Amino acid sequence: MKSNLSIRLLISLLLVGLAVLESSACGPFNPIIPTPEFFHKYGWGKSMADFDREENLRLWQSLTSDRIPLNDIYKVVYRDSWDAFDRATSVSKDNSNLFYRYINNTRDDEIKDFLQTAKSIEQSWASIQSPWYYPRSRDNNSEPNNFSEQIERSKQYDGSRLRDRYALQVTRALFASRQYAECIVYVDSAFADIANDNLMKRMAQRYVAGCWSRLDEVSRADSLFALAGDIWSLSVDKPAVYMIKHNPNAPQLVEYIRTHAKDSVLASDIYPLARRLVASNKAKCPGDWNFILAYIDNEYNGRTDAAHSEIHRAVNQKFSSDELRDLARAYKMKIDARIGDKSNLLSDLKWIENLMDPLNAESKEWIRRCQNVVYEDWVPALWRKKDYSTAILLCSYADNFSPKSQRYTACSPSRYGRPDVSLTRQQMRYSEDVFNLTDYGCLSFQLMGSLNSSQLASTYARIMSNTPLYSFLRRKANTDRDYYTELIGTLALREENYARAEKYLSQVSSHYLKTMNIYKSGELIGDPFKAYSSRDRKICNPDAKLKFAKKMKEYQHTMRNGRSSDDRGLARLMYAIGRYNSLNSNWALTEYWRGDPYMFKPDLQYWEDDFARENYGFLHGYKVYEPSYDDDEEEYVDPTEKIYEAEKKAALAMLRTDEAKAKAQYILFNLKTIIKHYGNTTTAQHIRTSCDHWKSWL
Amino acid sequence: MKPFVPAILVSLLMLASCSQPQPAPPLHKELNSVYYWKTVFNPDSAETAFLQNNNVGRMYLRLFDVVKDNQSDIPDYKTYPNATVKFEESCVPDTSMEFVPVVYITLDALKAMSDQENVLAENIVTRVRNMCEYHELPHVDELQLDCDWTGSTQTSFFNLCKSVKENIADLGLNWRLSSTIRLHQLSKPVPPVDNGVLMVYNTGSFDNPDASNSILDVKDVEPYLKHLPGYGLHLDVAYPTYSWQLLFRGRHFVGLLNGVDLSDSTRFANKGENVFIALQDVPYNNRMILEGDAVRLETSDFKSIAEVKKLIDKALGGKEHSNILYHLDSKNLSKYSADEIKSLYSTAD
Repeated sequence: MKSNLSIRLLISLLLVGLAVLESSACGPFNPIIPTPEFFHKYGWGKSMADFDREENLRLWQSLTSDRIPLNDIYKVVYRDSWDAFDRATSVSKDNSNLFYRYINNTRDDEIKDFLQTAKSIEQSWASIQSPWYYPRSRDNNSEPNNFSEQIERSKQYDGSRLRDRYALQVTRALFASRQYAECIVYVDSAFADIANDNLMKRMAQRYVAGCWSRLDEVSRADSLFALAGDIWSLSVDKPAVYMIKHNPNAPQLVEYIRTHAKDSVLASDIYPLARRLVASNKAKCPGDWNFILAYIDNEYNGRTDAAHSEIHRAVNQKFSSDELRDLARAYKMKIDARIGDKSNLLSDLKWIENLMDPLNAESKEWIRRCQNVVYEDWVPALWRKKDYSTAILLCSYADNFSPKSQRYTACSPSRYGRPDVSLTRQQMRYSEDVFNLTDYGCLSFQLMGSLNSSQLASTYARIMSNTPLYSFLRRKANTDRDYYTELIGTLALREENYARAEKYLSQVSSHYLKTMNIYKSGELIGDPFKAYSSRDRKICNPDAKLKFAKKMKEYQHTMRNGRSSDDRGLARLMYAIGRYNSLNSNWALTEYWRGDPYMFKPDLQYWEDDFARENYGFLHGYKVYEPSYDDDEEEYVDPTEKIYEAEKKAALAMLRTDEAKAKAQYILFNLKTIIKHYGNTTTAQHIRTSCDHWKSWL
Repeated sequence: MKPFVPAILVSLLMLASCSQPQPAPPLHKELNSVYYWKTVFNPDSAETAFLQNNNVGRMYLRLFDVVKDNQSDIPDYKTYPNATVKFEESCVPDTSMEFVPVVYITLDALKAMSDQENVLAENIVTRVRNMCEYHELPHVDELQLDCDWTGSTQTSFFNLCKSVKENIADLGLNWRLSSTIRLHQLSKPVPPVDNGVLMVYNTGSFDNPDASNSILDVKDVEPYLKHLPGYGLHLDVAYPTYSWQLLFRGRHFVGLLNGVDLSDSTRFANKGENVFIALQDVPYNNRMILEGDAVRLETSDFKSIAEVKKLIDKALGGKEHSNILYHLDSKNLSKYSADEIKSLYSTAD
């Protein structure tokens, strides 16, 4: 037992070593299911300040010039210190920042003075917010940071263009100097005749809420925070619930729900309120709320049918932003997949392909999103319904999204130790030297290889049919005839259907065979009919599979129709050896990679094992390999070896003459047996005359 | 070289005429002194009486510690002031006593500000200035930095001292800069400060379960005294007048205790000179002293202090210096007689 254990351990280590070599050469390349955002937002999401800033930058643009980029305004208004602003506006030199250029060239001192005042308040406020701050005097008015000078300067402004902005600065300064009561009174009067939707007024009202909070009027503060959309400042336990009740149309509420969408408690808290809100028709953006309901129903409530209706309702309604509208439609594709509703698939793919345009800033994210929809939802659903052609074609479409010009860094066996080369997918596909990094590791190829040869042949025929959806998908998918035909032939080898294998493999072009990774890596070199490991290295033959198929077909024929029992027995022996080797040492005849026990498991970022097991457990070779070295466990016997041993035994039993028996033992390399038992045969004679020092072999 | 001499002289004269030298800080007088190291500044009547009765002329008042902020990368906020002393209303006595604000800088904070000591210096000086003015501390002529710098952090601490002096000048403050000098620092280069205070306490390792007294042990002090006669900085000397209880569990230091009644023989058994073993679980400030825990009571007994003081006075060789007691706490100080206190303050050989 011990020695068996050691051998197994050694073999395992060798296999792991081979796997490492193998995976570094030509795969496998685990398909990855990206996890982009749909409804749930990763990270902290936008803050109230982000909402303010986005709106404020646009307001600054309208106050000055639409031609000033928002980034330039952002730098001047939000990033630069008082000193930096002063330097940039006091020296008349050209500035690449168009906002500074605008201020300097137009001599718009109204704006310059305002920004100086605002930055001075900001600077003073920052100093007292520092942990190092300590007041210098008990008399607030004598403090250099009491803001009195800035407050006075701001109040003196008598123009109209920046009145709301100056009023906000006074508000901030009063708040910063802890003059809470004065701040409340000031905002009431200063903003009395300013429209409620004015950004400065809304921001000032949040300062008022902050004042009430500091004056211990917390509930009053909360109602003002809710009114201003500042859900992040609410002191209540369930801010989202409070907001739905008090200000459901605040865009900040949806943002908050999205960033907390993984919180099942929050989801169940808001669900009935959201449903009531939708029913009441009081939601300004019902698309947002139907999206929320669909998300909760699909993710938490297990009500996919309800989610399907809600998301279809949502996409035809008003959303608070274009981004959310697009995300809702992408999410609809997921739910359609789960329901099996293909009616919109083509139009949705056409729509999402536009968003994947390389000129779209979010292009890469949309590619990830589309791949997620295909890999996570559509493929498993279609496979369950045995719609293999749509599943494979859709999957291949998603596998081949990257632009044609995208370059890959690949290696080749002739370049070991030298730098890898950079080339496009098409160049990689046609190269007889460089490994193909995509076509033999992608999920679609794994799907194809999970069918039997007959299924794949009929699937390919369907794939090539001219339906609008398939024609659209074929633009990007890899539907190369050789790619499929070679695989059908290989599947037939796997199935021991050598006639079919010969039929398909003989149709594959010689060039294609030379572009395959198994050919380039030299895995087709070995002789599959040797019963023992051989150091013989023959030139790698791209026709190896076809030759193997023909030979096996021949042995099959002889096994059935051989003239004598000896002929049939010897053919049976060769067939058993060929079959066993094609599944083991000569695995490249029936597989495309070997060695990595996890090779077929989709590498699912952040996903549970359960997902892979439930949705991709059908993949050929999918298993979690857990070697066990427990002494108590029964010894593991490879089933192919079991068959091999049985077949070998049966084949030997069929042999009648010593000549045939000697031949069989020669095939099995049992030279000692031949000399000992069949010494008068021609085989024995051959050994004696052909092998130098033949005795040393015994 | 000769032709350049007049030019150099002119340049020096121009520099001299352009600079506006700060008035020199007042001289460092020899005064009976005391450290105040609590987090609330509110001396009780016994402590006020102690100050008066012993003619204490200088109080070293810890204002805050500087600790490292592990979250921040912004230089200004990589360290922050911690445990800032709280001033009870109207507690600062109207007195002629000098106040020396002290800032304790942890080693982690110093390391965090390596190469940015100027930022830390500005923060410290500005804050100390603001605190002194806000609380109207009278007679502030000196700022003291307290830091257990070592060979690897010496450069950083010295840079900090230089920057602090520059900031003191920039803010127009007429302050000297002093630093504490620990015994092990006597063998190292002298920091760039105006004067120092030799800390003759915490001489041993408080977390060593085998130490007999980590506060003061003449055996720990003696090896360093050879550096005193030639030390290139005016030194005052601070002696301990405190006691503490150290809790050990399985030979591991757990924490400091305060005011546990170790004389209660139902709860503690005296084992050795100053070690007590808990005979049962004893509740203490929402924690538990477990049965079998060891509590080491460490005190600064007059005999030990006097013995060390005698050695130090001898090593100083009659140099003028002030003696400082660490720290002002009526409960601890009540353990010493008036004569003993007088003796500790005495600078006569």
